[in-house]
Amino acid sequence: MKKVKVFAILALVAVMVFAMFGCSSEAPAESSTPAESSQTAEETQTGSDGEPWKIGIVVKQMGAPYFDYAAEGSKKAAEEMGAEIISYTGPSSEDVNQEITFIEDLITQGADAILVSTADSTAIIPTINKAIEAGVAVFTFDIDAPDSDRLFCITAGDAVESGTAIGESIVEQTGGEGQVALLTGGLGSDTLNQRLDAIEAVLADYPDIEIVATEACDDDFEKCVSQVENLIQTYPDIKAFAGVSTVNPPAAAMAIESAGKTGEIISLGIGLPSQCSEYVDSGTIPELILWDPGVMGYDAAAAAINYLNDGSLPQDGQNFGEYGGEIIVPEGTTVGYIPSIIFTKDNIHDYEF
Amino acid sequence: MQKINTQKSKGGFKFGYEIVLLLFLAAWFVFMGFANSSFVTPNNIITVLTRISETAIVAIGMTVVIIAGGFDLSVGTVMAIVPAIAGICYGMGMNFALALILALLVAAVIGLLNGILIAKARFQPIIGTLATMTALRSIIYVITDGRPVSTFPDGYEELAHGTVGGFPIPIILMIVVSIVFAWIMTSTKFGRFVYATGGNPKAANIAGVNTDQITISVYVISALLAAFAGIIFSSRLISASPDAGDNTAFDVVTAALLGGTSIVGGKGNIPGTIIGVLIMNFIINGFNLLGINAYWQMIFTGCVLLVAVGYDAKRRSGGFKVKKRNKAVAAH
Repeated sequence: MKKVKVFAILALVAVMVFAMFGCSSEAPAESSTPAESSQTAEETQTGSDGEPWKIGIVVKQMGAPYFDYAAEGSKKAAEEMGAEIISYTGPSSEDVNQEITFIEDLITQGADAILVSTADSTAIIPTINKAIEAGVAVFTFDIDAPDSDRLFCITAGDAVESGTAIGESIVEQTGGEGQVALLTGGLGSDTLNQRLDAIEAVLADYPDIEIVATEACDDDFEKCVSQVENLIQTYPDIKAFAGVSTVNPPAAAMAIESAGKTGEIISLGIGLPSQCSEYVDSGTIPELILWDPGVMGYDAAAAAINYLNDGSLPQDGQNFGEYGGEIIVPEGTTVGYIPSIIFTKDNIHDYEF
Repeated sequence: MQKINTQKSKGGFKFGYEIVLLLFLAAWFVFMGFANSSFVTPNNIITVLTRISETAIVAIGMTVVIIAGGFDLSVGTVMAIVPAIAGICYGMGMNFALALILALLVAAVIGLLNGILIAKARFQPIIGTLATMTALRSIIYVITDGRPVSTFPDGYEELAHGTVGGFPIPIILMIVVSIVFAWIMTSTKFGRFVYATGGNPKAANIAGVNTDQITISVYVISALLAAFAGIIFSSRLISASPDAGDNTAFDVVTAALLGGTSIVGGKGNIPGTIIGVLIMNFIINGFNLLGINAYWQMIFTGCVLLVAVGYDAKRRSGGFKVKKRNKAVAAH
């Protein structure tokens, strides 16, 4: 038995040594097999053509269609700009510890840039900073980690821009006249309040539109439904409801349809396609304001590639092409907002988030 | 006493299976060495070892509990609540050392509660600790308001990010805890009693082992090790997340079972568990470096658990040659 043990340990040591040896002789061998790519990589560290930049995407949850669209957008940008998305990954359920593992392994893999959407803006900080220290360009998207050393954040839902879009949507859908009510999630939210202000600023130019009420439902779907039901009772001539939180448009639509007012009253605002598509189909929600996560992924990847190419960060009003659109960067910040788009019956079924 | 000795020779001291695991790990290193040039590098190995130190420390506690015939689902929540309490108390102006001691006391009480529920109130271990786990997770959300706690003193991050003699501190802590518990389990009376309690509690009782006391002790040990791991974890993130440790129980049980710990108790050892942790994590690390999708990693983890538990069941029913050989060795 003793002999067997000794033999096993010897074999193990031999294997270990072989592993180390095999690896060290492997490194140069590998760069000679796919010769063109690896060698040009060395040159492109300073140059610009040849080996593509390697970009990794880490999201807070795999399997969410929202992030799948974002990753698709990033791939599109990478293809167009000669970069490569080497991985798109994330935990199966939100878990910042696993996210950290993925980021660490991307650093080891030699990624040039990492796009992160974090589950925990605080806990991710040391890891993002570590990546930056290791020379990796880290960009956040969708959810920011503002206190980290990340270079830039591409996100969506600039309050003023999206509020203005809702305001314009109200004007167009009501024909510029009639009673409307505004719906919001919570009165304590700065973003939502700025959106409401932006809507009111647009409607100020249309004296025939009367804002009869502004109701807050604390992001409670049922509460929003009953508020809308009451408003329909109180203002029988009301033409439209416009919501600034994603809860509002589907709740308003449900109340409108159960009151039998389909076709007479419409629901507008910011909403998720998955929650609103049936009301879009029935016409209660003629159009919906939201952003395309694909554009977000596209712009984040494009921003990272630009940075790798020439060290530049996105500027206010910078145009990322026909798909990427123009981004808004509030002065003095390193956050870029992608433009909103309008979802209608024709394109809402292309999105499942 | 005779019974106890049998348990000891059966449980603690056979390394045949561990050699197989080590060879497997070595083979993976060889394969990955060829497949990816960044895998077998000091940088990658140290990165992986650093981040698995918490899992390893929790897994050691879990191994002790499972050997004693128990099961501890609450480790992940203990990992989360301890740094949260320490951070909150420090944030309210308490001396940090005092805050840490208080938080560790809470962990000990949780362990004690688990132990009493299972040893005295005769709860099934999986149910008793499921109850504490669920209740604790809610308590964490209540005391943290669902937000990460980040009030920690300057220099707190050194525990997880600092190095001694070029080695990251978490790796050193993991090695120290492993050695201490490997020693406790193989060379102390307490260790032998733990094997006896899990292997054959009735016989152990007759032989004079206070199995209730042993059961309670192992849950306290498990909670304290989880607390320790939680502190390292929060130091690594410089924040105590209310969601921390959500998957930990699953990960450490998988590693312990893979490492040869028998789910019915009485068998297993610390080195095996450490090898189990290494295998799980280096394989996932390899998958990441090869760009293999995270979904496949879950399938892999599930399969490992299946194989390990299946092997354990087979071994217990005497379906493998290994068993016979061991019998021969024992007889010899």
